Amino acid sequence: MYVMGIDTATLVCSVAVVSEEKTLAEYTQQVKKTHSERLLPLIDTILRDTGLKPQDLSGVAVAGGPGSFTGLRIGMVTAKALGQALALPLCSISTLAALAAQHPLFPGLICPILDARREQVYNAIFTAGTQVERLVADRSLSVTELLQELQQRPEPVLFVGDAVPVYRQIISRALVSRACFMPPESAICRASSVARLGLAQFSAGQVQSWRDLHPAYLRRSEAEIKYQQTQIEGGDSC
Amino acid sequence: MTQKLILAIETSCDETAAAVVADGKIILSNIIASQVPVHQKFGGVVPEIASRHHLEMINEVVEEALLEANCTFADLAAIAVTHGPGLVGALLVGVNTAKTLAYALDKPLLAVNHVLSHIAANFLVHEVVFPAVCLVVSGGHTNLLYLTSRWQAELLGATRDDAAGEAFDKVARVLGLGYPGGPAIDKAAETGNSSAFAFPRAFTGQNNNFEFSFSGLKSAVINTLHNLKQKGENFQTADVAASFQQAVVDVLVEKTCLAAEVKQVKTVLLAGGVAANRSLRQQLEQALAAANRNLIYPPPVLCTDNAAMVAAAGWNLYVKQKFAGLDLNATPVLDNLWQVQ
Ligand SMILES: [Zn+2]
Repeated sequence: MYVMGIDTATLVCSVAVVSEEKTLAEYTQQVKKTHSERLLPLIDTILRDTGLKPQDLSGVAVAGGPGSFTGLRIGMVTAKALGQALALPLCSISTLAALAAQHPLFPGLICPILDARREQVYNAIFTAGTQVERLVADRSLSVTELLQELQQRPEPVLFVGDAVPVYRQIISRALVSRACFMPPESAICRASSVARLGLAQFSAGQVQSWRDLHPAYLRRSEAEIKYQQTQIEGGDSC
Repeated sequence: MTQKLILAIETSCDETAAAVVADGKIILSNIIASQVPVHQKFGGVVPEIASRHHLEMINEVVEEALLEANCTFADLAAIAVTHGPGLVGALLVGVNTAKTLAYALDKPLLAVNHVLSHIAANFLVHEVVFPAVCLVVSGGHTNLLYLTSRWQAELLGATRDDAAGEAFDKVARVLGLGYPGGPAIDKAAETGNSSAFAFPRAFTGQNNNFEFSFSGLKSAVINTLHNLKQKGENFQTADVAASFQQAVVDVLVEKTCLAAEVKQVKTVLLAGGVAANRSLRQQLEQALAAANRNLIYPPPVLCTDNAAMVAAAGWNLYVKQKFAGLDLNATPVLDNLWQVQ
């Protein structure tokens, strides 16, 4: 079984092909070109290099959010079009779960954080040690709230994701020696992790089509948030 | 079957559209999922919401276009897509869908300019005699072009600020007529007196000036309303709508007739969403007929954003084998496009 993974949820553009036994190839870029310009050429390159045709794939797994709205859409739209053109099985993997899954042996909590702007992060919490298990659903919250939650617990906490450089000092101050960090290579989104989780889902018979895939933005658009605020304020004055 | 089928995709603004067109001419399907109701409560198109809706709708719209055309992906000769100008996030959904489909199906990819596709809507319904002058008016554009063939367009003039359709939307909003503004003002103006208010007509009465400006007109309408309200004077919304619309139409008619005269063409094309405006059609038709010139325009469904026109414009690229690469990006502003195709 060959599964392609796609992750464009952050500034990292990553594509991989994995089988049950190994990662055949993985290309991960953080350069100044847009996902729209990079993603499909990378997919073409990886298929050429692995000697596979698009129709040889058993399925495509995509990081379905949370993440940058535009980034998510490019990955999701590409996966959906592959699924529609070739009738390929698809699945959407939590960007945060794919980050956590890269560190199954960490003896403590894994805490992926993605920059959600407005002083918030997208986050979930996982336990690891032997296998990665989810404790908290994907959400958007402030770093202060997250740190208060983590201060209630005794375990060491591993932080990964693109918000780490932004909040590293605040985290270290709050959790002191319990805060653990990885070198940059091990803290970014990687499509092999998305593909591996996808392969597990496909093997378990959890197959979706392009009709079933929707990005998990976790947040409405600014316009909708503002509109609702004016509705509530308007309601008060009545 | 020797017909060449093009699947076209359009997501530049607030319509998710896909169409299948044979030989650049015969419309086999033309599916449009409009988001107008979604944006209505915001009084205009919200880019992030538009992008999200495009993503939810695009594959279904493509599937429907194929079903209605009674064909499959394998029957297609090429895939065409609008790559700009337009809202970047919205364009990205169409561009990435189209290029991935083209890649997976091993079909050529055609990157179509949105303005040229509005013009090409005319080629679907008329045998156009060249050379011709074309006025493109929509929410995003106001352009006068000189066409020497299906492939070649020279820009004569464009708007310096707001597009005509944009002015319609903004004036409709201050008049409380709702969104989209074009049809709302067209309707409201029916019962109004078009000479009730004297609104400005920018750059008129000048030879060889094909530029437009509508922001001054828009401000004049807003100021007039403000003054009337402050003085507590009564006024008819219909009169304001009719006077505003007449000011726009006067400018568009004068400039278009001037261009037709200077370029000595027999045929004038009207294109874009505002081409559906009845006053503009009637008055331009009359003015041109007086000089023995012929006005042609598409039916309303092909005036507003749709994918059949994208296929018609894509046909030009297909015939010339000008194919786009896998790195095709969305281009929100396309400047230097007029001599390209
Ligand atoms: Zn348009």
